[in-house]
Amino acid sequence: MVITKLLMVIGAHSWMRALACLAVVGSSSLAATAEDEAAAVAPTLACEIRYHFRERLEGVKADGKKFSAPAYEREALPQSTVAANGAQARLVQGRVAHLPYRFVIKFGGKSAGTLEVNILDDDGKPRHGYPQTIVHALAGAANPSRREFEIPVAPDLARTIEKKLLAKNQHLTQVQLVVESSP
Amino acid sequence: MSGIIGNIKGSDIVEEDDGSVTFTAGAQLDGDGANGQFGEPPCYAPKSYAGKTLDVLANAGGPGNWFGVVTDTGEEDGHPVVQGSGDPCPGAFVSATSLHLPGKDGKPLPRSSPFKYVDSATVPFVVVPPMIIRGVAGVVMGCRAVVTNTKNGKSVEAVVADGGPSNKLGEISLACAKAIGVPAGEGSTHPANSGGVDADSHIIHYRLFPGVAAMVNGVTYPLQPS
Repeated sequence: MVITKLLMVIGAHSWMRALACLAVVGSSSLAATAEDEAAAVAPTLACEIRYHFRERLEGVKADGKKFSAPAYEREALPQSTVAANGAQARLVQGRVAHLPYRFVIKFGGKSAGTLEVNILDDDGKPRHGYPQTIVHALAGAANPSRREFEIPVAPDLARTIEKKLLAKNQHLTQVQLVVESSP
Repeated sequence: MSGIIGNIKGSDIVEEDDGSVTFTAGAQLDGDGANGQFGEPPCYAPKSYAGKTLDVLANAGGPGNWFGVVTDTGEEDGHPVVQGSGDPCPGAFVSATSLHLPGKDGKPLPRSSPFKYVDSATVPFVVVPPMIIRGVAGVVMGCRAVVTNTKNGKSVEAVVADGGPSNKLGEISLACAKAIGVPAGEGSTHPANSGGVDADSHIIHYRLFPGVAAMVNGVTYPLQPS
């Protein structure tokens, strides 16, 4: 009832009609801008380090399998943030407890779909094989939301990881960075 | 009366009144035992191997430390056994499971035979830690298992075929993952090194029947005492 009366009043005055039109156009324009910005920001990234290992099994018969099936322990990197440089990119920066490296992972921004992964040592030098830049990174992957990267680990560091992270009789086989996006 | 055998990282392992063992966990993937027995790729092969492999070679170890493939001496410092021209995947390594299968004549197969082991690519199997193998009266290796994905309700008959680390619970073969709708690294270069369900997710329910030989896809598996 109230709405009907309001429409009748607006309809009676041309300046009110113009104002109402502007309000409608303006609000829809604002909504469109917000949607565009949301769409432009790259999806949230979740990154973790996986320490793959096998365990020497005790009490196995002479002809039995001496090592366990492979398994892994995980350490998560900090949550992604929207990059502060104005480009609509997601950024993960940080360290994990058992690797002496700093990780910088960027997805999206000026080059939509581009994933940049860098692993730096304490001196700020990139590790062998890094940085890596992959265009259309997650769209082209077998699992469209995930990419995996091998992290080279020297024998001394492997022994330290085995001592500090893994359990008795467990042997490190590889270290992997997993980058996963979620909408 | 049911009782708790133990707990691994928040998951209780329960021995039920009927003797079955239940637990809920995630599902990491185990490609071990895949040697191309039924036409699927092998788990491991030398870098020179032209075909696809299920896992990255690093997970098998390396010279002096071959943790994940059969060697000529049976020790990790031996040389990996390479499949010959009469084997399913010539040039690939032989990957083992804890459960050993007999030959067609019922006699034990040699350690180097690709057919001695359970094929992760085609047989739904479960990996269990020593706590379960040693914690119940019935024989666990080779026993029946039912694995259910509580998220989608999919369930599969499986066999307990491999031993896992002492502090990990919830690991299955690639075929098992596919059967219950768990990501099995589809399309990935190395499916066993990808996919799976996080250990913390607790969405996969496992029920084992120690002492009851598994029958999967018409094949009855041997019960293998530890």
